Amino acid sequence: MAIRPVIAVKPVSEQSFTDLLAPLVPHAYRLACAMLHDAPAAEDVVQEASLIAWRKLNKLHDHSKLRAWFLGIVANECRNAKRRRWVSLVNLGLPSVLSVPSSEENSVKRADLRRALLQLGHDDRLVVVLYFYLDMPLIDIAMVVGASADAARARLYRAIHRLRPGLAIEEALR
Amino acid sequence: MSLRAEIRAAIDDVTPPAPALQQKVVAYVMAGERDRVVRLHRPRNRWTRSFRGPMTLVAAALLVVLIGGLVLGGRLLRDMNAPPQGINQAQLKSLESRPVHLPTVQPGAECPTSPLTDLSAHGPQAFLLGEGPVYSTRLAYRNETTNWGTWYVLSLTVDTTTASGPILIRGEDLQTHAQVLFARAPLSPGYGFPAGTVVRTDVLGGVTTQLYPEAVLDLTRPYEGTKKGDWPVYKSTMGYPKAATGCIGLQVDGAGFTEHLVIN
Repeated sequence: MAIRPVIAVKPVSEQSFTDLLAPLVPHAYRLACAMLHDAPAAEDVVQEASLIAWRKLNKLHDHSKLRAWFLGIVANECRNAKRRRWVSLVNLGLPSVLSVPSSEENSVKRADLRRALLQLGHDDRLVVVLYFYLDMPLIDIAMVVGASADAARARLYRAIHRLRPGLAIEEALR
Repeated sequence: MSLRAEIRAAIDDVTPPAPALQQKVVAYVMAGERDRVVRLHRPRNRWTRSFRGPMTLVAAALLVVLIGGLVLGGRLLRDMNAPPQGINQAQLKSLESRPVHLPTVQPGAECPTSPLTDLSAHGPQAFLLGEGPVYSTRLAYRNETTNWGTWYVLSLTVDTTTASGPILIRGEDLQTHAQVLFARAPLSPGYGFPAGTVVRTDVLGGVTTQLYPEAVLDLTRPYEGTKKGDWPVYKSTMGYPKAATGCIGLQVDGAGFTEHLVIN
């Protein structure tokens, strides 16, 4: 009986990884921070997601979709990290939010908005972050969340309505 | 400020710069499997990760033990609370329907304890109180004194050549008419089974215990200390309130007889 290696395939070289995935790491980090609001946890997520992406890179035939595909893996790892959140809460205590100097009023407003974002479901929060924070077009967002563009748009509108119930969609999308 | 700008500002607050992250990720991904564990971002992952497998097994084992404990504990509790199988409930109802008629002892009067009977041929105790078929020892062994009252172990010997079926015990203090109550003695075969409606609770041996107005002797389950060939002994945890004088009258009802025992 053949023994299966722990790491099944190493299809691309270090140069390939550096060329293809490394440039996306800052985007992945921003996405993970936006999803988790916890920078150290976000770094962990990016590392794990990068490893997963590197191992599966040979299965991605259309490299034009690389960014959406990779961010999809990051988003999935964020969801997994959220499930282990109680560990983070116990070990990390307060996030690094308070280290940023700002006026008290603005700081409170931003904290409220972050709280509202965290109260959104994972997929709703993901489309909001991808659209507003990473400036991704809806067609790419659809690829990340694994839905149609229409479904992604509907999800975005619904999430905006939850964040700002009184705000018109046209104004919110500016 | 637009919603986009607000969201960016809010998220930027929790996104500190990570200039070295790109290099760290490259190094992490390209490291060998053994090195990779060491290179993980946070130290907590290093030790928790190595424990995840074994701890999962430990957690699963604990879960199995917990479920098993709940099942066994539930069965034990059910068995403890269930009426003894050897007791015919119809017969017990019939005995309970008999009224209690115990004499009254005037304050200051001597307690008219039951006569002693020589039972040396049927057990270790030479003389016991009563005329049969149920006999009692004196209340010599005080078990516990609580805020409510005083608790004894009532030890009854039954002439099973003449008595059969369940035997019902009810009692009161003959001077104050304070009701005698019975408590369950968990996991003790041969102890009278408390019956009737719970009257109150008391703390016995540090455990809050329900108190009953009756005790039922299941003749199929004698006290485990009964020697072979002796008349069987049955024990009950019996108490009376502080206001009582200790002159206790017991009405013993069985198939075909009603007996009054007076003990102190």
